[in-house]
Amino acid sequence: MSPASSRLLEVENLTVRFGAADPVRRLSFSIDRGETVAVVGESGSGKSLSALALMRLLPRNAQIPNGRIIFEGTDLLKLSDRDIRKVRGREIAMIFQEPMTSLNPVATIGNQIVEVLRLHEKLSKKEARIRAIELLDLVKIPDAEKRVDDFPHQLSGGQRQRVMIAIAVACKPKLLIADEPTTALDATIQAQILELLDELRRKLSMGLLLITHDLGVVSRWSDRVVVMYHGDKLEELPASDLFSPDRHPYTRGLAQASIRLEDGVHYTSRTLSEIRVVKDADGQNDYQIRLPVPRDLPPVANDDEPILQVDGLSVTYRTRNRENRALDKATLTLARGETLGIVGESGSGKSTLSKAIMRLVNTESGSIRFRGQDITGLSPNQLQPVRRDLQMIFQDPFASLNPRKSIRDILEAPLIVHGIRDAAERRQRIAETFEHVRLPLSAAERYPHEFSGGQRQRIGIARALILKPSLVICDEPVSALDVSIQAQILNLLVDLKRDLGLSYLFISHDLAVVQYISDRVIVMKDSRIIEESDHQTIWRQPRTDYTRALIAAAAGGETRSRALAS
Amino acid sequence: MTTETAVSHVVSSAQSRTAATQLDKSETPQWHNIKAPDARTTRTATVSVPAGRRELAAFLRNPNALFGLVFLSLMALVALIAPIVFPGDPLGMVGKPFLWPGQDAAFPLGTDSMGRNVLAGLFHGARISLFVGLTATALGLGVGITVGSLAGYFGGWVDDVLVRIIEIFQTLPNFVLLVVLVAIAQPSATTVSVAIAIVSWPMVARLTRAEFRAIREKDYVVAARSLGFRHPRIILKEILPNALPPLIVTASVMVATAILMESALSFMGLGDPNVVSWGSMIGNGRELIRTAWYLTFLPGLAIVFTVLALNLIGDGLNDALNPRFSEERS
Repeated sequence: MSPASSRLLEVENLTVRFGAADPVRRLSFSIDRGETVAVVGESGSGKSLSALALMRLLPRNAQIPNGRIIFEGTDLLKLSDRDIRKVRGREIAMIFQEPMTSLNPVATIGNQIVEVLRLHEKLSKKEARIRAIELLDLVKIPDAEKRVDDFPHQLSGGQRQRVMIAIAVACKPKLLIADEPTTALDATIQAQILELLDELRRKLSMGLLLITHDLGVVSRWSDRVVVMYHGDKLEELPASDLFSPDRHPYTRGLAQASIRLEDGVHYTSRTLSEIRVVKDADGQNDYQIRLPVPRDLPPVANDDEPILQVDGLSVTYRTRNRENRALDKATLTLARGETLGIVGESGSGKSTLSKAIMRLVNTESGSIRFRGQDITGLSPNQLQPVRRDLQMIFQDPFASLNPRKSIRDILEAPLIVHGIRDAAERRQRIAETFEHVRLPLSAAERYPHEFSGGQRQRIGIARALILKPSLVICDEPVSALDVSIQAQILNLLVDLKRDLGLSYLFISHDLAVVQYISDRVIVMKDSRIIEESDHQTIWRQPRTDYTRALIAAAAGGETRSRALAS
Repeated sequence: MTTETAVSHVVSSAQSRTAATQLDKSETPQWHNIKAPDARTTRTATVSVPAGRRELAAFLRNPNALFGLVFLSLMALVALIAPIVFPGDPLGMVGKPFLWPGQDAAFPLGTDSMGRNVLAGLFHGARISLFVGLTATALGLGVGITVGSLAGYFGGWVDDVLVRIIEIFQTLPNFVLLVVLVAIAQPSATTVSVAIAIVSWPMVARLTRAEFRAIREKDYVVAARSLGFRHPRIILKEILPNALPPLIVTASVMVATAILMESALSFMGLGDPNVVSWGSMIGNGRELIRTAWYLTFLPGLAIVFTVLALNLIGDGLNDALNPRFSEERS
């Protein structure tokens, strides 16, 4: 290896094959020393598989029929199993998305770092422990000397991801692969982790391969971007050009579909841009962008009687030896036809609030009035007619549909339970609802696993709408979806609200999404509502430090791209 | 974001709705809203196999499971045709005692110390073994699933009470309990089945409870509750179908265990003395094991192969019902 060469990794024509399918086709890209390259794509684009292929960690039934992965002059695909193990962890290291499950729960974090160190380097236990403390210090775990003997469950999610990073950089790898390193983390912590990765890259002069679906992250933290769609690399571009107009139509669509806090778009003024990909007659992908359509929806009239009034609502979860106040004296009102956004980080009590309003968890004190009726103390039988009017859309479209039931069964069951005996009427209602959520009728006889995430979320929405409710609680309805699907679902929710006169309680950790869809916004922290404001005021004049921190973290993703663009 | 002229089909929502309603007629629906890797562009994808068929195909592709299935079907056939092929009491003395297999064409597998036809005994014994195996399993599953699902679904004090009951049964040594139960009751195929069911349901109950506890927290169950579904509907239609795969696998092993338990009881002379079973044949032949080993060997072989077949089926079901595994195999 000549020192003049700055090339660290060169991937040429890499194809990954599973049986008859090629989820990654002829992928080529390169990473220089000290450079950050991002691979962006939506689910199914092959970005994670490509990363696993680099480490030769693909599942056993996957093959690599052609391609070369040249790392520092050697082709990793030609190495023996023994030699590749020497590369893994020492030369190339990887961190994963889920910090909750990628650490061993029964070993202390110190020992987990020591284990990696001693595997690759000749160190005594004592030396390794000192190095481990240094590493924890490097990834900014406070009180590293004391925390080194902690078990993973004693650390927060962000700290666990820091430990994962410490393990990954323990042997000073030349290349670090980060596969969605911040997706499972809260916004304020996301920024810190990315900052840490960037700092380590400079300190250790590593190459960094960042795999993500988040364009904000990409534009701020990477030098070059590889855009993938469905196994194909569509283009490679400098990160600063990501939001410029003369890009590949798909890249442009992605950039337009992702909502950014700084744009300040609101549902009353226009729709979101959608992207769709269609196969044309030659089997080629045709990328089409549906540009935003201006909309002129009137603001909600607030003088009506509110549809929902929650007063001093508290929920405490009790286990045998512990009490956990999950919701503390929440008070809110929701006007007819209004969308009330609720933002907060994980554990802030937003989901408990929604479940309490749905009467799915027992409340301790306080009252819930829905359409003028106090539903706090109703028995299950008395609740039955209320449930028709009060429905919920869930976060994970893969977990919220029963995998053993056809879509027709899933939609028909609520109708049967609510006493619609006539089969013809039920069919009529299902057809109507399918039209509302823009699904073809042929979908009815199929099973959930046959649908993509976006389609499944439409089915979840259909299930919520089939009883013709007046209030729909949306619990993170777009958080599990790809950017392009997110825009479609948000547009759909706005259309449905307009056409069916719905009110929404919209819960999300994503400020940009809440900003787009809400008429009023509530901020939650530590089981309490700490701030409430209308949708314009809250972003411009946040009253609490916490809200300011949230906004700063959410806006941070775009600052660099803006600075570079101007 | 500039509103430049781009490749755009701006389909108004009114148009899209008519498009959606006409889908059944037109081949290429115009859904403006659906992402590419979907049912429309990947119609022939492997995922579009209706639920159930994939499992069956995976099961039938597995040679071990197939062998188990064929052997068990053969045994079932043997049990069904036993009264036709060998009418009369298999315990009746029909020939000279101690005829070795092949010695007399009338008795292909020989006769025992009392001159009873061994082949007829094996055929009729299959009836008892399979009857006891299936009945005991059905009863055990019925009780176990009921108790386990109630405990797992409701939790709280219901769970506490039911788990205590399960523990009482589990702390007693299985076989001792079985012997006591059979000794109290009049031994017959039915009482033996009931006794085996009594000792085997706690395992099913524990398994069902664990499955229910996990599935109870899934979003689709929360969704069902939010839609106002009642408890029986949620238990039977939402949770149970998803809890079945491990239970089906357990059931096949339970049949095998029940057959072994019945054989052990009969071997000890605690079975029904008026019917022949594989276990009682081994029990009767055990004193002659040095002079006429075939008397214990042949019914032993029948037990071994039947139990093996059931275990192979269980393994096959386990693999087939676990989608990730069957994908890796194919």
